[in-house]
Amino acid sequence: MKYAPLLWSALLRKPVEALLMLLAITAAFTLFGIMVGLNATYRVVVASARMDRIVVSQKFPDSSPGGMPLALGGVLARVDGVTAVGAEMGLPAYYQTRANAVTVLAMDEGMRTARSEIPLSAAQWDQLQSTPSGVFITRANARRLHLTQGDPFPLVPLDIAAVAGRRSLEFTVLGVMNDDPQWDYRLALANSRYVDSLRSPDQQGLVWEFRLAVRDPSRSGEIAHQIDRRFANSGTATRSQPLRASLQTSANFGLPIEAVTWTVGAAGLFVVLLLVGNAITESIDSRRAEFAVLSTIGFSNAVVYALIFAETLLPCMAGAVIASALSPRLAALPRNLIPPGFAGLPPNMFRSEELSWALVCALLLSLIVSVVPSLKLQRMNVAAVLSGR
Amino acid sequence: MKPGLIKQTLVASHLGVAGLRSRLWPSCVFVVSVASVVGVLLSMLSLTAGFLRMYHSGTDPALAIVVSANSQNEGDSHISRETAAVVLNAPGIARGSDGKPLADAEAFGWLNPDEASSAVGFVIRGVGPVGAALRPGLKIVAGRMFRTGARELIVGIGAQRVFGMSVGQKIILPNGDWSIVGVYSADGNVSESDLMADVDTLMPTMRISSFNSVIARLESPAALASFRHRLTANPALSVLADRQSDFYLRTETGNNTHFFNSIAYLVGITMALGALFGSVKILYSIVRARTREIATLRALGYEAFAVAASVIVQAIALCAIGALLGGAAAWAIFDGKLTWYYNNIFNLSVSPQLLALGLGWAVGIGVLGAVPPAVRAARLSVTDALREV
Repeated sequence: MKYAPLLWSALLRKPVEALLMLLAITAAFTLFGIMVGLNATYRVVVASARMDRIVVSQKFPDSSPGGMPLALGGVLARVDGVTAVGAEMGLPAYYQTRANAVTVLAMDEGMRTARSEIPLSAAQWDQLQSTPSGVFITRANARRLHLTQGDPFPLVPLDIAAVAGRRSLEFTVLGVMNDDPQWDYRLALANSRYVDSLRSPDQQGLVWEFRLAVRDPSRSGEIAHQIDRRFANSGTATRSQPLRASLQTSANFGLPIEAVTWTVGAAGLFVVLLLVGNAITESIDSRRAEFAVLSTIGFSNAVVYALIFAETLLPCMAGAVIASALSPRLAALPRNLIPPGFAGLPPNMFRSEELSWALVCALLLSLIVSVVPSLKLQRMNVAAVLSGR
Repeated sequence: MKPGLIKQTLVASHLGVAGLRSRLWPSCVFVVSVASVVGVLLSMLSLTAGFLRMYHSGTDPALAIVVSANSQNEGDSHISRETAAVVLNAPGIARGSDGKPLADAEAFGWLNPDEASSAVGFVIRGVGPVGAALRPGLKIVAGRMFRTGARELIVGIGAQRVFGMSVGQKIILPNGDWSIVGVYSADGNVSESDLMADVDTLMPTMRISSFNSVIARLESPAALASFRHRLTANPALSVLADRQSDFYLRTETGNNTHFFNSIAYLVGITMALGALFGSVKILYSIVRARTREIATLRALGYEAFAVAASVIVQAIALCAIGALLGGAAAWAIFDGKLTWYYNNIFNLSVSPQLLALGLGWAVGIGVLGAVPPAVRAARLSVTDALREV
């Protein structure tokens, strides 16, 4: 603490320039935080996928646009290793305007076990099965559409032919469920019997996808292959994948999310490394006489390095902390522009990870940037500097 | 502006730019910061530029597409055989040397890939007898064209390069194995991501009961309006007609490009802010180092405006160098690189327009960043500045 006045005076020597440097550091760490957040979101979405789940869909979706026969579920349930089978079907729609895309996803009773990771309690499942026109929506969706429990939820279907010409689908919000990384926030969970009854006769009894729970996660791939071989020559050829593999493919749609986010984040830090390095070097160079005096009165090289390190660390840490608060809000800005084909990105829940990474990078940056000015000071000719040469 | 003032500005600017050599390290930091901003921005925008170029390439303004009314895109469209027959014989369609209309009813299906493939899926497009004639850019680069009535496919060169499909490979469709007999290129068009087959063989295989569209070559690009009018005025038809290139751009690119551009600009703006604050700080120190020079110029009668303008010219020069470096790096690393997004395979594009955007972006950073130091330089009191000489 006895060195605090020295530190403080060094930082506030040129207050305007110190503020500019803080703003530059904050901007760079904000970018870094956005990239870390995006990267973490992608990894959590994939990592949260259970290994003991298999997704079964149609290999040739156009051969039956409504989906696979519901009865296929009974056959899948008898496959060795499968402990539960759930079926889902859906209706793409929108609420009030096309910008408010909503997909009604109807799940049967089997999903209570096969997709137990859905954030619904047992009571909520019971409520869903007993209330035909009720739906559960996510917190993010409720905020987006300004809905609460009990609100009417009329939807306009995108494919009128699929719902026998209906121009409006009447639902009621039963409740709001927690957001989940795997759960597209725009989905509305509905009763499968009711939704099936809304569909046109040629599509009733058909499902989009089956979700299987298996006893042994290590056998997921083998069971998936077994199912596909069994139905390869049938009228409903299947494509089965362990859930995690399926999510890995769909989460990035071909773009190397991890490589892009780390590269862009590193570019931002590289820029701040240069700017802070330049600022510190200039600051130290302009205060050589001051450091010569400190050296004369007995300050060791280690203490001098510590002072320089602290002078660098304080604005970097401050910028990193401010940026960690800003970056989740900025990262949410493009959310409204997410194309309909994307799974809805979950709300940013990774502040602690962003903050940790930012603080570690701020520390490393300060260590690196402090080295060169410290070495230059060690080689300084104290007498020459004190005499004004 | 007084003629003398222009000369003063030029002289002061020349002195300012020439003096950068004596401040090499801060100038390099400035340049590299701006280069990083421009490089990252252009590399991210190259994705949408390449995506859009894919939809612009190999297009023919005389080609029209007819889809069912109210369809959001070609995939949503359903055209019956009866409707297709009427459209194919509509006035305004060009005729081939055999007198038959240069128009085709086409359908496509979706193929989910094998688990071993990293692809999300493929479009298999069924084309009619004049499908190749409607695509003058289409060339068979390996193997041969598929035969009508045979279970044969040709694969676009994009799909072949990214997913390793080759001549002789078998693709499993609902009625058995189909052979890839050729590889085609199409001037970088979106169809290079697809597979093609004979429509009359494909439709029963994929159990598709209706066409998705009718593609027609009009007598001239200007004939679109009358062609559209004749179709929409026919009460027996419920279709809409548009220029094929415009239709695909409107229905396939809008949401995706908005989303990726918003991400790119969010990143670009955040990095630019960091570079901006850093550049203001660097320019402040440059102005401080030029105090003697500025004092001398002012004492010689140079106007404050000329001095201020020299600071801005200095900044623009540094930013222009940074933009060139950043643009060159983005072009060298990313231009022409093959990538894929969902089922679209295309080359990233760092086009001249993007490079110009990067230069404008950098100059904008330079001008905004130079204003506060320029104002400070202009307000330097001559007597105070001379005291420091």
